[in-house]
Amino acid sequence: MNFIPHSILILAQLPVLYYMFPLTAAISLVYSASRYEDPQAILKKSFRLFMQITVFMLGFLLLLYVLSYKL
Amino acid sequence: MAHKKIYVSPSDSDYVLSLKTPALAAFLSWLIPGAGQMYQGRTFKGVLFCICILGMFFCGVQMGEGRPVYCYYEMNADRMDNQNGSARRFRNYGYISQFLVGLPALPAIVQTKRFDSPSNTNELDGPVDVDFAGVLLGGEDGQIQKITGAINLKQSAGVRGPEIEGRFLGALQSSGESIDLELRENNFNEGGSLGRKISADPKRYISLEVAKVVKGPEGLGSSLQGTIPRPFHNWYQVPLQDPQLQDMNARLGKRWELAMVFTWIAGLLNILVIWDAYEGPAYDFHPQSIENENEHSPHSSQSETPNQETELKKKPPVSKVKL
Repeated sequence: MNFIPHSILILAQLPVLYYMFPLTAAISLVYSASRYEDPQAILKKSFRLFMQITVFMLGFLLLLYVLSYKL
Repeated sequence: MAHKKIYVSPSDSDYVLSLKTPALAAFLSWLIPGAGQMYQGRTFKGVLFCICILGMFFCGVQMGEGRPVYCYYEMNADRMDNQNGSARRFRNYGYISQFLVGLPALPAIVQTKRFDSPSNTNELDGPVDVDFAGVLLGGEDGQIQKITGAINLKQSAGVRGPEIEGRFLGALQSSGESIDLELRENNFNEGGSLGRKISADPKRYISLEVAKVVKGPEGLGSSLQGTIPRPFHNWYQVPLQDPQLQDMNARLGKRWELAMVFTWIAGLLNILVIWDAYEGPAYDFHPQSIENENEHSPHSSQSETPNQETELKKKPPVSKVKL
């Protein structure tokens, strides 16, 4: 296994990360719907929250990937 | 005096929301996510909650092959160094959040009672005629022969109690040669001939002795082992036993953990839904009146008692809707 950089192994975990998207979408929708009553406001706020969570988590993934490079 | 909560939008005073009977709505939202909102006439939110929470819950159930919802699990005695030799039982604390999803998680409580009942034995309820997949052991050259086909089982009164006998009609997987076997209970089988009636596995273990080879090649095995299907209501949300738990972890790995996380998050999100049914949305509206004999329009709230009016004036709108 030494010839494979360990940081590449993170790619093997990517299929599990796909579950993050429906999970985040459902969480954003339910959270926003519990804050607002107007359907348009719910959809708008939930989309914004979905993007915030996704960008934050992907950013964190990138940070961990960089930190684990050549480990 | 009717207890009704009326909420008014701070941005549009004509936009009035009545929560009807909040306690009933909250109960309905626990029972079926979104049902409370539908009862209050908030159809969009009701449908949204129902799809998101039930979708997430059943997605988790599907990922965990129908087994991530259970009240407790059992560990084998040898693994836990238990002196008395019986399996030790542990609570599944994750069930607390699964319970918050309501009706879809309630079968686990019923199944726990059924699993513990004395009627959950290794006996047959009645004659069965089902598909069978398994192996024949103890042949001439000691090889294991895979077989598939149909098995017919019935229970009869034996010398030492009820005994299972049956017939297998199928074929050898290797050669495709058809076989017909008469089967009887193996009294020396320590594990029993048949798995328990209720257990958290869609397949029921079976082990029988070949009493007579009616049709088949020479040198067939003397013992038949395999599984028969267990009815859905006899395995769904039943407490897990150690081998089943280990099997799920080994085969599904992270997917098994994710399956449980999905069901937990669904339950935790339902707290927000229950609260929304009881108190209304957090930002769009603020309470106009708490106890009224009839539903008031926002304009009629001016006729309320001075105390209530003062309280309302003191309470600023929590937030405004920004579209």
